[in-house]
Amino acid sequence: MTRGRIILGLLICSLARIAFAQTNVHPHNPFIARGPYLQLATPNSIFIVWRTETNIQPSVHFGLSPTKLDHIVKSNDIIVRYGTTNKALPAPRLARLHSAPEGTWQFEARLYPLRPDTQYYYAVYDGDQRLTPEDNSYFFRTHPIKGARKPMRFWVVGDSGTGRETQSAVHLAMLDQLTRQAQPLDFFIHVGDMAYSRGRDVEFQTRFFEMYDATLRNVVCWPTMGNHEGSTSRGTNGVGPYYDAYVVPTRGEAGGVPSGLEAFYSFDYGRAHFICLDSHDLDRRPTALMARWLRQDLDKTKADWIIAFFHHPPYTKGSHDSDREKQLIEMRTHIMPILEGGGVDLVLTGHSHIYERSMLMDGAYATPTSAEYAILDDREGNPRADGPYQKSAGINPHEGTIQVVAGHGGTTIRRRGTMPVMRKIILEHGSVIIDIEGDSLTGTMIDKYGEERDYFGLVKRGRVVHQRLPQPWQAPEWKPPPNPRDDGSSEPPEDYIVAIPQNAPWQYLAGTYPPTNWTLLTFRVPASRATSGVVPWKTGEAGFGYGDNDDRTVLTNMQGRYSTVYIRHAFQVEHADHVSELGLMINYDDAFVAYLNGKEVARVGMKGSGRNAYDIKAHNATGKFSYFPLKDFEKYIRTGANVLAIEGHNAHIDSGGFTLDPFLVIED
Amino acid sequence: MTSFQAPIIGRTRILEFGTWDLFETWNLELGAFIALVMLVVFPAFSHDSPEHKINDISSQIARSSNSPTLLIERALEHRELGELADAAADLKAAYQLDPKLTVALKELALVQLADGKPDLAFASINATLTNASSPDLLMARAEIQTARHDYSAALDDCDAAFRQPTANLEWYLLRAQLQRRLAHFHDCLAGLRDGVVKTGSAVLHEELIDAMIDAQEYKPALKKIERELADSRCRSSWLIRRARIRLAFGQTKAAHRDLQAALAELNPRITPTAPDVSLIIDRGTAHALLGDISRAHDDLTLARTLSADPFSLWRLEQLISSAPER
Repeated sequence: MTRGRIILGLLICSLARIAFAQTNVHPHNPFIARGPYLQLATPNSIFIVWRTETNIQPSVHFGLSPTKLDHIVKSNDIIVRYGTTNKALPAPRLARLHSAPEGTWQFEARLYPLRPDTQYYYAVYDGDQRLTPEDNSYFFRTHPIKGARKPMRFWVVGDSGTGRETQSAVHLAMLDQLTRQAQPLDFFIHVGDMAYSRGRDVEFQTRFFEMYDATLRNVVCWPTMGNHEGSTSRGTNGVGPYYDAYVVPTRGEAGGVPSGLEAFYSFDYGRAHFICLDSHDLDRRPTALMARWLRQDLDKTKADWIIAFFHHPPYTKGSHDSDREKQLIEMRTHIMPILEGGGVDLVLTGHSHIYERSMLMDGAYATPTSAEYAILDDREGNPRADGPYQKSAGINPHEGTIQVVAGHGGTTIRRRGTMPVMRKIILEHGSVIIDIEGDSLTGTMIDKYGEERDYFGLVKRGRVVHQRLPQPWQAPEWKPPPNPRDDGSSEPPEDYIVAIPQNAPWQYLAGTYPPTNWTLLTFRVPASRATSGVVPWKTGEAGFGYGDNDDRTVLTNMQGRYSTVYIRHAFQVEHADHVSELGLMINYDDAFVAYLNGKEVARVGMKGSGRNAYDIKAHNATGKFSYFPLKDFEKYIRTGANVLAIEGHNAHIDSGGFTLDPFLVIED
Repeated sequence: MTSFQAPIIGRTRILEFGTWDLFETWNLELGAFIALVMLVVFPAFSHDSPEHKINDISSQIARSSNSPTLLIERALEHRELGELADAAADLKAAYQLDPKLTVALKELALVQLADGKPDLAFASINATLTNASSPDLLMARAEIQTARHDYSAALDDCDAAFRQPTANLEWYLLRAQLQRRLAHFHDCLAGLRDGVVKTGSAVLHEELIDAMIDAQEYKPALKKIERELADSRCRSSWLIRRARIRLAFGQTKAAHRDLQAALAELNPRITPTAPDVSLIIDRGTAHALLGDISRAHDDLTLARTLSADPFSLWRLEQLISSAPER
């Protein structure tokens, strides 16, 4: 895929998302607020879930041809859930949605009985009115029967739920790969953090369901809860927006042992057994409920492949450190011995915002993690190069596991070191496609540009005996880049809303000093010298400056003549008390002071202000935006009109460049 | 959320608390809960490591002032790093700032329990409990009482919690373990059967079979064990259970065959450096039932170092202590 196509795709996606978010309805029908999407697939059943904003007479029509939907799930057989804060529900049989918008109706229809490994088409109805469009894009394929030797393909993505372009790019890159290879997905696994920043219902809506709409209507997403969803949902009782969104097995409906909870579960697909654990808010001790269930589930399965997934990685040095953090340490020391003793082949996780893929490993439970004697095969495991990793046929304890940390699905990526068991460490956004065919498994990491960045394989055949390696291969020494936050900037909120857009038109004054009230909302900008008698303000698109080819409003006469530029921009806030953070994204050279409604809220690289500025430190514009939360903004922000004013300063009047390129963001 | 036949509403798992819990414990209505969440000062740096978050929250505290919410947020991060003393200090400070914030006190109790200070935890949790206390708090105290080896008092708290119309899977488990420990077999079996029906949990089903053996309901237990054996890839835990019944029936040879088969399966699954503790307990139990008390004792010692909870060790301890001296 070319980057041009991706940019076009991103643009389309962004526009579509904006449209959806504004109306919060399905693109095809004003009734449908979410979905329809697929859940809890088995060889002979599947759930179709959707939401509406009004009560309907729900039914699902389905069949083997898009023109012959000759089976119906009628309304009496559909589970109905309702969003309300009222104590009394409209009908006694309704279940309550945790925090969906008031008046939301959720329908969960189980289609049964179905033929295994068969493609069906479906449509959602309100009485006689078809709600989904009359096209053939609403279809699914049932799981093959347990034990069937059918090739499978699934997508693994994690930490994606920002709703930003990067998330779209990762999704589009995966779809493009499927199209190129003419091989669709059978299902997908989300390893958590799918709805930043607190897993609220509205965040699920815009950052998961609308983002992945095209995929979710055709394949099931099997989820595990991340820590961000854990802000509003709880594993112990299955309550919260996360648990509203998903229908997962608790009674062994899809294979595996009944868990009794939605927080952890298992399912079968052909010859593979998948295990989902809750690493966030359940007791991870080895004799606690989840570990006991895990042991029972492993004891029972007779699949050829065992794949486990959960949120917190046992091994990582990405944005998180598995040698420091309790949940990660406990998953390694308490849960990994059970998984490896049960013969697990592949462990998929997220949480750490990076792609890391291990060598074939076993028994690395110590803290800090050491690779010595824990690596069984230290090659790349690339089937096209040095060959795949190998294990014996069937399930055997402690013959090696591959760990994949796929926390690079959309949010800010970061690396803080080198985990010694890792063979590939890639700091780029992307996702992973896993293929299993017979005795071979391959994994492909596709970055957001559609480029294949890692390819690994595992073959389970015959009898394989490994020797533990005393000094396995180690990744080259890695040094952290210079701290980009030396200027006091920090990480922007994940779910910000743009209040003043990038490249917005600002009023600006260059080459002279403004009156003292220029930072106030009440300041009336002089438009012309004739009427005001002073140097007029102009309007120009950010950024302002010269000399480094990064400016939209080029100040051609600045060098050698003046060193300060003043800019201001008004913006509206609907509910000031809903703003939890206000911050400035800015690319700057050399220093600036920012004011909100006349009060200083940010200062970088200088003392004093205006003509009395001094001690200005040189700072090169990096081409990237730094983020500065505006201090004490809550004291100064108001509902309605506000103004942000910034004075930008050059350290030297003869400096070779100047940049002042801001935009303003809000966390609501 | 479709699978439960009966809704099961839960509590905060010991040592696990998040923003949600703060509000749930205040028993707020949904709308009020959402509104309060919106007002909470969440750190902007939600994707940084706990260390970053602690620094950021500390900066926020330094800039503004000590707020209970910020202190609790910071306590969460300290807890994640295992810095339990720091977490406890923040929770104490939060409670001192706002004595109505009993949730801070409850979480303090759980942190103290995790820090191996059950008596302090007991004092803290008692300060939160009133006549109308929530089942959540009662179950938290039950866990603390269990750690203090006051099983009767713990069971009283469990029973009080179960009298309210909420229950959760972990509660069923804790109550059953206490009942088995106190030899209240009838109540234990009834409670577990109810739990299995309501949740379908395989863990409760397993616990039920163990309780049946303890209650000497051998024949129905054996029937269930045979079904599990027929259906399992790894059979050691079920072979050991069957051996217990066969020994009770005086079928020593058959029992020993089961135990030897269990050991043959267990040993390759146990890594020498950091084994799965349940496999160690199973192996120790098999050794004890075979009369090899020395090896059983070695496994018990190893299991104690591997975070096994007292209930999981109790059976093995009983077997070792009741073995005839050699």
